[in-house]
Amino acid sequence: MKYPRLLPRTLLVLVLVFGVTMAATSLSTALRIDVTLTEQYEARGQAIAESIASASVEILLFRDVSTIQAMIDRYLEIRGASYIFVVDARGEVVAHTFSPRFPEELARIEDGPESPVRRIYIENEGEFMDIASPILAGRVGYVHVGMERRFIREKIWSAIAGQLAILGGVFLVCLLLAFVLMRRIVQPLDLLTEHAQNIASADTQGSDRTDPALELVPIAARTDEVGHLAQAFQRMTKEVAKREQQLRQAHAELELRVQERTQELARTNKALSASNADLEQFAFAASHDLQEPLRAISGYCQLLQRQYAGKLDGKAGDYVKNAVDGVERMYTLINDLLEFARVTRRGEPFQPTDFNGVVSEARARLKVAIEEAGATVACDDLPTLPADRGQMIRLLQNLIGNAIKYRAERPCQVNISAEESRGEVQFAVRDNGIGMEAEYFERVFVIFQRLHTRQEYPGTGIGLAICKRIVERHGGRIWVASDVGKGSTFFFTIRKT
Amino acid sequence: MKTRVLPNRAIRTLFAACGIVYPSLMAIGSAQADDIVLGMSAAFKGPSRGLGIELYRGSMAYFEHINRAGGVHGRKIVIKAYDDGYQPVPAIRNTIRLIEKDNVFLLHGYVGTPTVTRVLPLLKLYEDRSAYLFFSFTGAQPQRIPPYEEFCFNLRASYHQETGETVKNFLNVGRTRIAMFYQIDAFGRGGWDGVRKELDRHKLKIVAEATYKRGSKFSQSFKDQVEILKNAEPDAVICVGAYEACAGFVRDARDAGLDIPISNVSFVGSESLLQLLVETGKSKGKDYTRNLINSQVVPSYSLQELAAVREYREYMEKYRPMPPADLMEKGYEPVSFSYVSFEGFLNAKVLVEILKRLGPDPKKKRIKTVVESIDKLDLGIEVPVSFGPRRHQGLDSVYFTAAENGQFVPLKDWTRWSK
Repeated sequence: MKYPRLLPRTLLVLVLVFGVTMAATSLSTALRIDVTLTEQYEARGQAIAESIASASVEILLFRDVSTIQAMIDRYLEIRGASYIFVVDARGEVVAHTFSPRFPEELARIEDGPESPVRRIYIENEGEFMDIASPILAGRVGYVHVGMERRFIREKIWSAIAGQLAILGGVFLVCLLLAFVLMRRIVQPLDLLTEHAQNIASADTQGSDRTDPALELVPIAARTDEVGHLAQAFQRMTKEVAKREQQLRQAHAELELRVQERTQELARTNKALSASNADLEQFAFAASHDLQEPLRAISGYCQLLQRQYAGKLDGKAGDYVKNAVDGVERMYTLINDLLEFARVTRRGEPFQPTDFNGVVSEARARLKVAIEEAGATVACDDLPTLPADRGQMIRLLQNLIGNAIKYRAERPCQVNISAEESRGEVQFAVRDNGIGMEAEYFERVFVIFQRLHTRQEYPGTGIGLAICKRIVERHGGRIWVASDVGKGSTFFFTIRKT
Repeated sequence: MKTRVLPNRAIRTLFAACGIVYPSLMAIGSAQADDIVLGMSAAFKGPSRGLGIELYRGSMAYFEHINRAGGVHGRKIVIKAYDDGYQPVPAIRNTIRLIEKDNVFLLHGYVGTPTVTRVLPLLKLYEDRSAYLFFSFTGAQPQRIPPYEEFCFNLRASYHQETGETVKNFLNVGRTRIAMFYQIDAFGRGGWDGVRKELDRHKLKIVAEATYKRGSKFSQSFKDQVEILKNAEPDAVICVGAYEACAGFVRDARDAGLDIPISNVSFVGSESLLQLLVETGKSKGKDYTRNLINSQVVPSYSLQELAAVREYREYMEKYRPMPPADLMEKGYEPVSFSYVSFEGFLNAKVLVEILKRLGPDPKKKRIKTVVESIDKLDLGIEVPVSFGPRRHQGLDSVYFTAAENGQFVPLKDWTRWSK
């Protein structure tokens, strides 16, 4: 059983109240009994004394003291009278009831006309009220009756003891009641507290505990304030549980939907990569297989040009020339396509690659174009990273080549820089060329998408698509930032490991 | 109290009803219609039982003798006895029962002052039935003075006479510092009063007094009382009490080195007292019987020259009378001869004379006249017995005895205690 913390305080109050009550009632009882009994005993003593005194007149005058003795012996049987003695006219004690001796304290009493009540302490006997009554106005003698105070004290003590016993009993009952009532209030509050804590802490994960609201049912059945509290608590608990349930349901639904979408995505992805592979295969095969007949057409057209030079008229000569040009373009196109396909199909394993060397090699391959355009290609100190060196050369060759190709009227300047960030290095190839509109920033990396006609700028529209493929194969990203008329900067990232 | 307002008749009925509760208190023998039944209430149990039993035995020895010789005018004398344990209230109840229910011819052989003193008013109450109280074993004054003397006849001298004579004897040998040890009741007070009055005549006072409560046992300590008296440095102590307490006092006094003469009165039952002291003396190897005086109201039963003594001894040995067994406690050893039973014997002798004088058809109303007519009746104790209208006490003699060799013998010479 839990010990109600409110109890000590209640107990203290009870003890104080009862202590004060007990002390007060005891005191008042003692005083009341003392006064009442003293009066009563005095009155009784007076009655005995006077009765003996009146009966003693004749006995003392006509008879002997042993009759007096017999009489006082009889009166001694009256409760409260502890001693009786008779003094004759000469002041001599002629009869008394003491054993073994008549006390000296009483021998000293001097009787007078008035008969006061004296308080006398007798050694070894106790405290007495001595009540004297004159016999024939004191001419014959005096009767003294001693009422022992001990009887009064005993009465007082027994009355107080009785009172204290009753009060003590009431006190114990009150204590028990207080305890029970306190428990009836405190226990349900404790239970409520416990439930509140459970709800606040562990129970969010939805344990398999019985519904806590169920345990509150007996408390909620009460009609008092505690009952109201429990009812409110019950409603709150139910509401919380309901919300929790809803939340869990929503969570589960969401989870399910995510799973479905992921599966769908995986399926699509799979189909997509399958069709992509097919497409790549087809493109590679087509490009490769197209080379052979194209070479035949090209060979025969060149043969026709060389061996029939001058023999054909001007018109025929132009036709042949156009055919040869077409074949040349077709070659380039097929080669570019093959190269695009090879990025993934024929890639080399990654090895530590010095990007300074890569840039030098790219610059060497573009030597003619650079000189023709009078461009300057600057380069910061670049890091060494794990990569396919050939593809890296191709990447930079394409980016530098594009910078030269789409140069503006002013002298062409290309700058290559690298910046390390978390886990990767970001390269930037900046030019001061014609730039492009922001709407083309994505499109430029799509295969066969061109911003200009072949007449304005020659090309197949595959270069940047190849770049994108190379970077993605290395786990990086490629994007462009540009201002029209001011120049473009191509960024790409390469992972450090 | 309520009973005060009840008529006398109601009280009598009440007491009679109480009396029925004691069917075990059987009277001796089976009384015949013409028997003379004497009513007796005395201590047959408790510390003072020796007195009641011995008094009964003494009286019964003589009655037995008379009865065997054909009774008085052909009537047998029967004692109807009840035990009162030396307590006043039972004594009153017994008396009412004896008068009302048993319709006894007269009351005879009561023992003790506190009992007899309380019974006296009943005699007035039953005046119309002529209930006379004969020869109580007490020397108290109330039944010797008005208003009750007219209903009482005593044979023995009073305590006043006993103690007065004792005081005189002590004063004669120069012992003037008299101390008293007495029972704190009417009996003790009577003896005390006798001592006081005698001393008063010589302008003396009791130098110290100590009391004890009625019913005290020999086994109790009386050292407090001894101490009180010893501090007053007395020349002699006069005891007025029952034998158990007085023997206890003598023992403690002697143990405390108080070796002065100690005198007891007749009521003490001198043989019982001496018996206790001798037994204690034997077990302690000390003589407690020295300087022990006992006043008596009958002559010593050792004086064989007295006719009454010879008769007494003869009948006691011959009849060995005993009270009915159911009246006593077990274990009482009767004393062959004692002052108490001798007194009972003499009482019986006077009673028989009275019954003889009442004639063949005794009437209660004539009792008083007949008794008062007795003049100089010879009982065989040298001293004659006389009654009269103003004399309801037959004898005035006081005899003194002293303990010698374990028994009380007549004391003739007090000079051994001269001071």
